[in-house]
Amino acid sequence: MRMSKHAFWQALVFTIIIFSLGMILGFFLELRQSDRVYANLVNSELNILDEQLRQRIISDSNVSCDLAKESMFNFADKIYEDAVDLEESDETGRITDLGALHKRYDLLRTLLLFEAEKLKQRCMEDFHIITYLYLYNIEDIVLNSKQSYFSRQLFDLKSEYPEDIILIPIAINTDVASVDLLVKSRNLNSYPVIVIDGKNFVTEFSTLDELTNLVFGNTSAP
Amino acid sequence: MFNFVELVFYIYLFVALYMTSLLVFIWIPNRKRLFYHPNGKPMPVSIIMPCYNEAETISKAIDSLLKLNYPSHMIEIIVVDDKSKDNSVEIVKRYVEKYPGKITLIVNSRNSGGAAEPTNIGIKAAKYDFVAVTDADSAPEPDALIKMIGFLQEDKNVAAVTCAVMASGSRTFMQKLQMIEYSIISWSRKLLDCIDAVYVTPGPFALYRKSVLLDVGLFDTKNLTQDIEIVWRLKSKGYMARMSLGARVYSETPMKFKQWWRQRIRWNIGGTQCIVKYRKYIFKNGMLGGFIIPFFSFSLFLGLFGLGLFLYLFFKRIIFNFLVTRYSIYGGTTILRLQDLSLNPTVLNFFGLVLLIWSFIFIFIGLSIMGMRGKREINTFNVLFYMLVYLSIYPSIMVTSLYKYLRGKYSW
Repeated sequence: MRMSKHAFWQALVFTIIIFSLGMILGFFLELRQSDRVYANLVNSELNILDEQLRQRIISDSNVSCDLAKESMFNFADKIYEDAVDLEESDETGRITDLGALHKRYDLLRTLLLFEAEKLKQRCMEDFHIITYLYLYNIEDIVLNSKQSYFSRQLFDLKSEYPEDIILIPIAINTDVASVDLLVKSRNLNSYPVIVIDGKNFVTEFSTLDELTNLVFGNTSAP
Repeated sequence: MFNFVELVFYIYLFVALYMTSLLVFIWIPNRKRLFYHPNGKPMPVSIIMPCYNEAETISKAIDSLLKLNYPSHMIEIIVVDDKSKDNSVEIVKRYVEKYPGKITLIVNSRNSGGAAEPTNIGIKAAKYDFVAVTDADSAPEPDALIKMIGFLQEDKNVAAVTCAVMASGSRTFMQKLQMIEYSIISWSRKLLDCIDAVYVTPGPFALYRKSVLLDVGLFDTKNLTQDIEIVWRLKSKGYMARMSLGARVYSETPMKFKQWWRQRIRWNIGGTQCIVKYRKYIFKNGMLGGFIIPFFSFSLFLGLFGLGLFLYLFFKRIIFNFLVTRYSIYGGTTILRLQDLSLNPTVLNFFGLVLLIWSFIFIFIGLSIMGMRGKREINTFNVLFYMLVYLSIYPSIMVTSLYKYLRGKYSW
């Protein structure tokens, strides 16, 4: 019988090759998967510029409130969908770091929040701004499950009243200076928190009905 | 990017891929010589059969020894009863009367609670220098002995020879799974033989040099797997153990899960006893310290650590889902969204799939080589069940064994 002690290093080399190929293949597969996200990364630059210009046009020109509202809702919905995409890619991504993209979107959503607040002031529009401030990438199970519940609740609410609510989720721990400032300026220190029109804060569990009542006041929802 | 848990998964995948690749790389150059055995010249052999409550199977076991293709006058059979409570002794007595001088019965003065002591008694009583040890619930094929003895004659340094242990029963699903397991283990053991890493000469049928066994102190009566311990001891003294894949012995396997579980616990405790006893040889004494002990230790560590990690992640997920569902029911929101069911494959999924396919191919090659393909019991479902469920029970066995070992509460 031939003693096959060479098999140890042969198997090691083979395993390293297979593993490296797997990593490379995985990298390309992930790249393909996150093509959409990377397109968004490029688009996020455009979106930020777009948002800044839209804000300027709306404040400087005589754009009707209806038109401004429609434009902002469309933009917000698009950003929300991008966020969902990003979340999904973040869960499956193992090689690519999506941290920078998260920051860009948080920045964009912060800009959107200010635009929405300005528009609401200017036009006395009856839409509601719901800001959802949460912690990104946390390990605490209880907090995580609470965030997951808040997220589902807001998703249901937005699905129920798409024309009346502008939903802006922002992660507060992605190290974006403007977001940090926003959080400090509003004296918030308990997360996750749902901020309704900048004045009502929901930090504890509530039912969907209770949340709906809080958003739309005591009047029945439209 | 990778977190700790993912890194651990990658390490596990790497190790699993490496181990299967190692066996494949051993197999490729040796594939035509796996069933090779040196042409043995018949020489007198004493066959020792320890027995305890084996009334149901012992006749078949003795009959199989009487049918060995080996000169009849060169075989003596010594049955050592360990104070059986059933009628094993009466059955053996009938054989002794029928084959006087060929079959001997020794009744131990006490029940030792294991196979080592009666085996040692039998070895001491053996007339010949070549001693075979067999279980009273096993039946070697007629040509098993002649296919094994050549290894002892070929090399004076070889002190033990094992053969392919195959599962004989296939009445229950557990037995069918063990049929697969035994075939793969036999094939793998032969591959380990190619790197001088046979680590056990299983009880169903093994051949030894009596003089060497006496020299190293016979079987360890305190070890629950005396058939592993003896090989490690022989190797620690510079002897070799070989395997004859062409020689086969069919052994009864546990029919039910509970019996199987108890057997595996015993095997694992015995393995742990061996690791502890021979820890000083790690990275010494050739393949014993260079491969066998690290392999056993590393497997134990990976099994325990993997199970711990799995349970942590499993319960974390369960608690998370429980809390979210409870909140959702309370809050009247959607309990499950399509978005929650992430269908995007990850790199880990691809690696897992590659490993699964690779292992599946490995097992099918093994089953083909062992002539098990085409058997009714060996179907794709059983093989997949064996790979995905049966093998995944092992870490739990390891934990239980270690717990029992540490508490010192174990017996045969």
